[in-house]
Amino acid sequence: MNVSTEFFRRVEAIFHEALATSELLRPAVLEQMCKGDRLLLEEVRSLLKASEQEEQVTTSCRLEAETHPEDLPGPRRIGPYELDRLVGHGGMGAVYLAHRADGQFEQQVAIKLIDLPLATDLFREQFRRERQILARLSHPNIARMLDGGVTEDGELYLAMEYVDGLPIHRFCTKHSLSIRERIELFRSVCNAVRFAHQHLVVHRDLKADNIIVLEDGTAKLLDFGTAKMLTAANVVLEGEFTRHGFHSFTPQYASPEQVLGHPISTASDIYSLGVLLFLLTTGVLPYELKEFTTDEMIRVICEQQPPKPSEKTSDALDADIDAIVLKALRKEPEERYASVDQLIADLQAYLDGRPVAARQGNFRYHAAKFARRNKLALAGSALLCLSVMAGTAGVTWQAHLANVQRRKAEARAEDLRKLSNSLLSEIDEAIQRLPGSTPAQRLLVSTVLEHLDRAAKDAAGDPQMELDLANAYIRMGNVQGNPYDQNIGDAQGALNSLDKALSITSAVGRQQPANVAAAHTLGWVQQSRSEVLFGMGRTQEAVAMMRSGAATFEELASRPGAKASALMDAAAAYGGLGDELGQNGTASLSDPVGALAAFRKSLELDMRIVQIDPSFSRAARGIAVNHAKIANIESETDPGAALLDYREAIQGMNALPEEMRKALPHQRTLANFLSKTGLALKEVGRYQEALSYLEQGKAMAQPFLTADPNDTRAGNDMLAILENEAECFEDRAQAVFADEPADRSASAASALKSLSEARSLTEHLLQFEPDNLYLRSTLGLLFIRISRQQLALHQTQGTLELATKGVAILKAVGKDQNAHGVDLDAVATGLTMVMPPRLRDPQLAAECAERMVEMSHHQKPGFLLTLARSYRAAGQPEKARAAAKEGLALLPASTAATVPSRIRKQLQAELAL
Amino acid sequence: MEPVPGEITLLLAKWKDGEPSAFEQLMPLVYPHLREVAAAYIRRERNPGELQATALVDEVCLRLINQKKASWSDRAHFYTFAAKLMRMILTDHARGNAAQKRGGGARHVPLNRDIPWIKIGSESMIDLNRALDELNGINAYNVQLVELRYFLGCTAEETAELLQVSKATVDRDLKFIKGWLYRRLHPDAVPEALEHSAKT
Repeated sequence: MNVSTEFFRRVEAIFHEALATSELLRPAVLEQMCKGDRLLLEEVRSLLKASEQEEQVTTSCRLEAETHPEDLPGPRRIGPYELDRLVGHGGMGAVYLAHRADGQFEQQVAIKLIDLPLATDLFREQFRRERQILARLSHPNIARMLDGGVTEDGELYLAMEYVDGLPIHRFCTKHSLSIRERIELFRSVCNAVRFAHQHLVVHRDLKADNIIVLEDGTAKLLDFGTAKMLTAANVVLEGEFTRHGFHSFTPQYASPEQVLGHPISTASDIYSLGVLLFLLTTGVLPYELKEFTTDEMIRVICEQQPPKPSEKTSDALDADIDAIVLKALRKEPEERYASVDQLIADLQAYLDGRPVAARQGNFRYHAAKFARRNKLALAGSALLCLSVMAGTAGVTWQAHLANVQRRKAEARAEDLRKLSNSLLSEIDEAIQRLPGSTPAQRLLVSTVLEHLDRAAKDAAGDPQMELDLANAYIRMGNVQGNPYDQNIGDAQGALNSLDKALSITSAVGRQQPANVAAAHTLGWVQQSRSEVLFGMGRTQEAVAMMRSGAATFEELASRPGAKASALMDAAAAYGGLGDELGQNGTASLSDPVGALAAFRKSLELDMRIVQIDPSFSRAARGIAVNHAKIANIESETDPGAALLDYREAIQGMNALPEEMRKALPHQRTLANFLSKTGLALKEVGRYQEALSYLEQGKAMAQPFLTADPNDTRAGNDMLAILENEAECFEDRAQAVFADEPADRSASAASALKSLSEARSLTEHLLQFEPDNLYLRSTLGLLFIRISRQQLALHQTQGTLELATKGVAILKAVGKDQNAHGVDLDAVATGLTMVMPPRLRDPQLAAECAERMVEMSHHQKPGFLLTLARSYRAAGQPEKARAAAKEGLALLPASTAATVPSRIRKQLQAELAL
Repeated sequence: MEPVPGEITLLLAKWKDGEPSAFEQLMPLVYPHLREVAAAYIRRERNPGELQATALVDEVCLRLINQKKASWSDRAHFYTFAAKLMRMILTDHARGNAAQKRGGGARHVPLNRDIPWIKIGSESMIDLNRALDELNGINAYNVQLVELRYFLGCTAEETAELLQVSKATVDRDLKFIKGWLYRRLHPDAVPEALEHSAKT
């Protein structure tokens, strides 16, 4: 310890001692303590005097600050304005009331400037940006910017419309506005925010104090100080600012992503609007923050569930308001309203007394939440990773379950609804988004069904709840076994669920014919039920059901005020009808004329939607799909025309928004289109190109199978590709149809490879559906095709056994009364081409072929070709030629320009024999 | 420059243990974050309901230490470091003003309402910094006290907690230091004991 330190310590000690002594005794005490050290005494005295002065100065400074808090150091001019008084501190600086000092005209303005010189480049940049932003935003509910510039001191300033009024919540209280009036006022704020969003501006600091309502009731949105431009140019700067800009939000209004420092989007403004609406409807904020620490903010804003507004006010508040506010306040940005537009639409629906979307959203939301939590229980599955990434840490599953049990006991209708949905989308979400999630899902299906059956008893008599329940059953049914959805392959179970939904919905619909939601649910269940029936091969029933569904949706679309989505539903139903009537390669009703009409109707509806709303991407996708389906039918008779429609379809698919293109169904569909193009190319003899398209289709379909070998849909898609690929090689191995030179034995080897792959895949798929006649007939025919190629390659081992097995399978299918055209085609084809010829059964082949030609109303040239071949094999050449002739008549008139298609060549060959 | 998790904690401990190079290493990691806090602080955004300067520092602290909840010693280390850094930032700012002759007519805002005679951005800040440098050679504890209480904006209670003393001690010590600093900055008003100043 050096001398001065020691001296200092003594001074300090005596100083404290002296201060602790009364003034009267102080001189004596000082003398005594300094023990005659003059220097020490002087120093302490000096410091005591200094301290006294300091205290006086401080007191007077404080007094001054308190009496003249808004004083300016003399009149100050900023550009053409003279500052009058300080009115407050905003997000980016001080705000002054000012007037024009150049005498041009009387005008009161608000001047905002950084009144402190520590303006970092970042702040200056932000200030400049605010000026740019505001200059672009001219809206009756946004405070107008008048001017802006740089002061003589280099400070930046903005001159804005001076808004004299009250913050919105005070205005509401002062004028005792009704809930309805408050919502109308709030809606005008939403309009301003929507306008800002349309101009790619996120406000980021929406709060009651930033919204001033004029005496005439006009709301004005202020302070774009923390606004953010959603443009690429600002990304770097934004990153900097967001990381450092802790002060850029007000905690009570901050969204979880703002608190966590995650990217901020328009969804953050929607959240803040939710907080504001909460405040306006209840008078209090949704969350209470005890301290502004990260811990507390994370705990409260990111983890605590907000209360319902109705629980926070003694006024009667509609459940719709609860739903709207809570939807805006969702922790996950993607669970909130997708846009301010949707929020406005729901507010309007509430004001009009129509059902609000948020109440349905609520449903999905609780489901999603539940799903995430429940998924955590499924340790080891792929879902676990997903849910952990989704990040719902901090909420324990057990606690939630306990809660659920308690609520169930209370049997409150809404809680039950929440629960139903919770259970549902667990499966929904996982299945829809992830390839290969079936094993985990199977486990949960039974639980959900049990729950729904229990809930059904509680729902009786409450139409809203009954509809929710019906919707839940439909979603379940589709998950169980709708061939058009990712499903777990339980068609019968699916049908049971859908039957329950149908009976509930029909009853509600009878009671309330005008109920839009009921009609919509009815259409949905009819469509879903039809799809499942179709998948089960009960085509007649499926078609009838789909006709009802299409009619239901079309009627809905014709109601006044119907939206584009209603047209979309109708378009989808007609598309489905077309599939069931005449889509190739499936067990359709073989009515190509009816099918073409249905697809064209669907195409027309889609085009109407796109005309109304070009951004309706589902309709754009519908256009592509309908082209492809029309092409599928054309390819039967006119593969050249089909190729043109496929081209439209593939181009349409590739022009869809990227988000859609990434979705699994899109990938499946595109894979399908590519392989269908391959098929059409094969039909016109362009084998090389055909194989290349099939290869592309395979590459797109393979990931689905790899992800989940039990994905039957992916399996069927792949099977179709492999069969077509094999057929290309088979044709080239025969060298009858190939225009291109081909090495016949190499082609035979390739054919054998594709056929073997197809065989293992078919055998695999049959494990799930052992009675599926399509798969069985396909397998039988594959055995025969394989044995033929083996013979061509002089591989005799096991060939006869394989062919014999194939024949046995085909004979069984041929005698099955439930067999469809495509199944019978396989039977007849196999039984006429099998080697050695002694295994053939031309009689049965001809019978089967006659049946399928009847079933297809003599509309399929392919079937007529098989019939002709069967007759010829059965020794009836006259009948064979007649069938071939009938088939040729179905083909479009050939011109010199058209390349003769494969089917034409084959039919002509039959005619010539 | 983004620190790796744990790096800051480690450097803070080293700095506390008297390793001077740790300060140099910490500076670039903490400075940009604290600079923004300083800016907010200077812009006087301390209305109730808004984020407090200390809350901002807390935020920075947790972010940099990479924890949801920092241990007391980590926090204390960070705060004392941040306070020192804040002093550097605010002093640099005042120097910048002086160099550019900016803000001549502007009204300056007190560093703290407890010492309204020190104004942010004014020459008094530069003088204060010099006086504190001087004081550091005599009593480093008192300097820390001033940095925490006035530069970082901690309350007396927070300061007491961070320095592990009672609030009464903080108040009492500050009274003395304020007197000492006032005299140092206003030599005309209160002359020091002559021989003492010769001695130091």
